Amino acid sequence: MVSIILDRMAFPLFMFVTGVIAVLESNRLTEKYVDGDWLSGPSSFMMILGLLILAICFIETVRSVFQIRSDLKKIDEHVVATKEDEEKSDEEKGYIKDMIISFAMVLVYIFIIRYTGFALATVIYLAANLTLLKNPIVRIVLTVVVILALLLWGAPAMGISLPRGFLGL
Amino acid sequence: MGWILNGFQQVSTLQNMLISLLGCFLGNLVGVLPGLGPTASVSLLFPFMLKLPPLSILLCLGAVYYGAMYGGSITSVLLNIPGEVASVPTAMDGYPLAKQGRAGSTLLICAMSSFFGSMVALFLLAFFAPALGKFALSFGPFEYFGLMFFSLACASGLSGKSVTKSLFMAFFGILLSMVGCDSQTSAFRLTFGSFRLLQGFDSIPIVVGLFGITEVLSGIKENVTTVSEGESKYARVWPTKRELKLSAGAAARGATIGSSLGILPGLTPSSCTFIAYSLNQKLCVEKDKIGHGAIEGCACAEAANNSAAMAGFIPLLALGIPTGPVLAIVLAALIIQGVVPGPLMFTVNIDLTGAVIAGFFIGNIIMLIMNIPLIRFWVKIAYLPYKWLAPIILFLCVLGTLVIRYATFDLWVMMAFGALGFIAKEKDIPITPFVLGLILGKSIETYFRQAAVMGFEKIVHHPISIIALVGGLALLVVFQIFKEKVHD
Repeated sequence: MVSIILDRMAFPLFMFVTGVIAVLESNRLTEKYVDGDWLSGPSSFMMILGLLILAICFIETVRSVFQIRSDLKKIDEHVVATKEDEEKSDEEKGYIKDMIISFAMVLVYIFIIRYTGFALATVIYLAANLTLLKNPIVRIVLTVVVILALLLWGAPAMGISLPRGFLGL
Repeated sequence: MGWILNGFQQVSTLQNMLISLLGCFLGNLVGVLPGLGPTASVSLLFPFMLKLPPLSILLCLGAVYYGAMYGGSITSVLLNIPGEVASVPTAMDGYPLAKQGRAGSTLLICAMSSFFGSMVALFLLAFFAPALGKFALSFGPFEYFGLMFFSLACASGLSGKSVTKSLFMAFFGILLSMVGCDSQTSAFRLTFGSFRLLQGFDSIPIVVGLFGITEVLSGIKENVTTVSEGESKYARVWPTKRELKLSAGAAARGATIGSSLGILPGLTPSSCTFIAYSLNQKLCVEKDKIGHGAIEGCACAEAANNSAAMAGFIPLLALGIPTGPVLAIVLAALIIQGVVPGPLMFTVNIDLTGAVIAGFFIGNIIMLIMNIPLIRFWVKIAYLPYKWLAPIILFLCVLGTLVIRYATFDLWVMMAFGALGFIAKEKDIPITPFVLGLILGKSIETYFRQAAVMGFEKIVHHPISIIALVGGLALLVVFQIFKEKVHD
């Protein structure tokens, strides 16, 4: 039940927060910057948008409440998971895990660029992510070598300079 | 007519042909990299062109421009990574088509629509440039505001299952475009004291995140084996009769809207493409497929993009007003060579103008001829193993975003929007209105404020604006009622 409510109300909540931020920021700008005509100032359009978003949020909240009620009525219907479904679900969980790790790897990749330089960070990232996704070792080595060559010689030839790290790469 | 024929005579030399071919090829090559759109391609290659004669510089610039635009379409269709903002609509329809095994025919339709769009705009440039240039100046803030509101209403009305959600996404996009230092008052808006937000968000990292990163994450989650899972490795390149018929109408609409809007200073080709795409949603045959793999969407977007880009030369040559950054570089190239664009281009410098138009015409033909045989090569990308392609795409997204302004902050923005895009995809929240709001946000606010300075009561003297505003509102109401009925 909690998950249904969270699922349905998350978007209206996001709308509400966005609308409130727009209105508050617009208010701050009005106090700070506007001397003359408010409409042509930096805050007017933002205020209008904020109010429109809050109005939409109200409509969406009402709609979500009705949807939650109809969802709760359906909750009594039980679905018995077969063994096959469970296995499939385990398989899906594996892919979701791969997705999350791949995403985290890109975050680490971006983080280490400033320390290792772009070329070295790319080599580490590609080797790690290609291994995670179960690529053959020959393919991984070839990919890393080709990309490294392109970054070291191809990019400067095209006038693209990339961040360098402690090894000067 | 004589001056255009004279132009063809000037351009038809082996050196100029080779320059056009090389320009197209280099533009293609750079444009294929995500994040490096026409502006970046032209900027990167411009310094190397300065040693060439004036006419050759213009031909090369034009060829690089087309090449890069088509390069953006290739990655949009095959990998769902729009190289530039104007390629987003192509990605929205082209990628689902590639997934169905129709990458070859989609790329060919894109090339042909681009060619058609360019030809329409070149025709206008050759025969109506001075008159159209003057007409473009009659558009004021009221008309621009009305036009942009109408396209936002179209996109919000047609995207997703709920008009309110779509409308919110459009407003959210506009709000994000406001982040940073206000250009008119220097007020810091929505920066929350962070100096990184002072410059605002660049649209490319957001677009790459929303499309490229989101798609790769979905692909890994769904254990996709190859991008294209429809037909065999040697999928057909030539479109069917029905595809051609649908595309012809859509390309005609795209070219008409793109070239009409492209002449207006202040509307970039990407804005024109989005407006044309959202209007096409209303007029096309396969309305329900738009955004999910409609060939009409690709044809319209490509024709609009190219015709708007070419139509931008009308105010540039006739009035000396560049409508976007690429044309500003062209203007700089002309000035460096001692040619000042303006009305004199159609009197004193008519020979050069004729040669430029002829050069663009030939450049477009070279572009089309060069790319048709290459399509079979490009299509093979869609059949590469996804477990290899996914990390490569993620690497290209990082590289493409990084080289825009060498800011690591942009990479974090890209990842954040990648995650948001993934959630939006899972929850069925439309992305199109958000991107449109983001792209048009700054302009729509500027025109609103300019209209406020002039006085909103003066809108009665601007019938185009009134029609667009009322039409937009009516569309929203009609779509809301229609969608509720369908839902029931």
